[in-house]
Amino acid sequence: MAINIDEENLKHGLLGLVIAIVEIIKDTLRHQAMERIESGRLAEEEIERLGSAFEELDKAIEDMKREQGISEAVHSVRKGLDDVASDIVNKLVDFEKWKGVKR
Amino acid sequence: MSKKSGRYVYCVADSGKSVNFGRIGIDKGIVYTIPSGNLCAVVHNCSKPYQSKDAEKVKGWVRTHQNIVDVAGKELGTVIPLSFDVMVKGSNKDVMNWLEKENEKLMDIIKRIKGRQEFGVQIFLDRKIMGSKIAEKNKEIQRLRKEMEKESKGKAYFLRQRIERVVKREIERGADLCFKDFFNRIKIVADDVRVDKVKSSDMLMNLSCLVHKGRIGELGTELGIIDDMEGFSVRFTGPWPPYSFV
Repeated sequence: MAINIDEENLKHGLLGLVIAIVEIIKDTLRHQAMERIESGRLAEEEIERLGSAFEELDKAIEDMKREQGISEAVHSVRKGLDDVASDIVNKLVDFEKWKGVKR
Repeated sequence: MSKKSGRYVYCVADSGKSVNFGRIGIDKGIVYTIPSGNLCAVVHNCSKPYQSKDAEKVKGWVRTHQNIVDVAGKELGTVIPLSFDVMVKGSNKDVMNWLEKENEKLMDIIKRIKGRQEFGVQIFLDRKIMGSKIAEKNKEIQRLRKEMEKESKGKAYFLRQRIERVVKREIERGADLCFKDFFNRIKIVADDVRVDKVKSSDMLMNLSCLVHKGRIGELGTELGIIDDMEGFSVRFTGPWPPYSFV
């Protein structure tokens, strides 16, 4: 089967994928940071610095998505990954939902 | 006609009648019944299965198949719909043997679906609406919001993240409770409910319901109540032949 490659499409797709991965890494880092904050291991000024850094990173990513018109592409990569993950999780825990449901 | 080596089966009906429906079948096949005792199979003669790479062609065949199940249901009463492209190898005698051999099983199915129809029920949840309703009421969120107002930029960032996390957790908890509540309400009205996979992230539940003809109004009322709830919407389709329950 032939694949139609349009340069603009390719750029959007690739950039979308890269930014989606950056977002996922950022989310993981933020998760880590929040765990440390909640465990009380960080000093006040460390929390402040981290928070400001994340705030700026969020803004930079949002700006880039808007400028490049790739919000939709990023969303669809992340949705695709989410669907795969929730499929796997559902297969493992679906019966939990049925506890308390009279069939 | 009888030289063809197979019988394409549309459905099995709760009737021993011999009926000729004429050339209304797939590829203009002559559709007729093969009775055996108290049951009959609705068939046409064919020699090979229906397979094609042309999706439109297949869709047309499936539509014809569904149409014939409908026509047979109107003429013969309760029918067990078979899925598209089921064939019995051999002659009318082989179909009769099959009906005879499976009689008990088929009669059980007929008993279960008699006087009933299948409906599709899809319930959608607008998580944004649910989220803002939760945020209005939830004490933890209100406390975090107040705290956030007082904090400097960096710390406020993490408080905002915590609020989002709480909202998300509460939405999922609420969605789960609604799922169980709606399921139980529908289960009371329906004879049988099958849970199908949801097809999009805003779909809370996707059900196939087997409902007695006399209780369709009740199901409609229940779904109307759910549809009127803020943040929820219901898609109700049917009636279909009970494909999901045979």
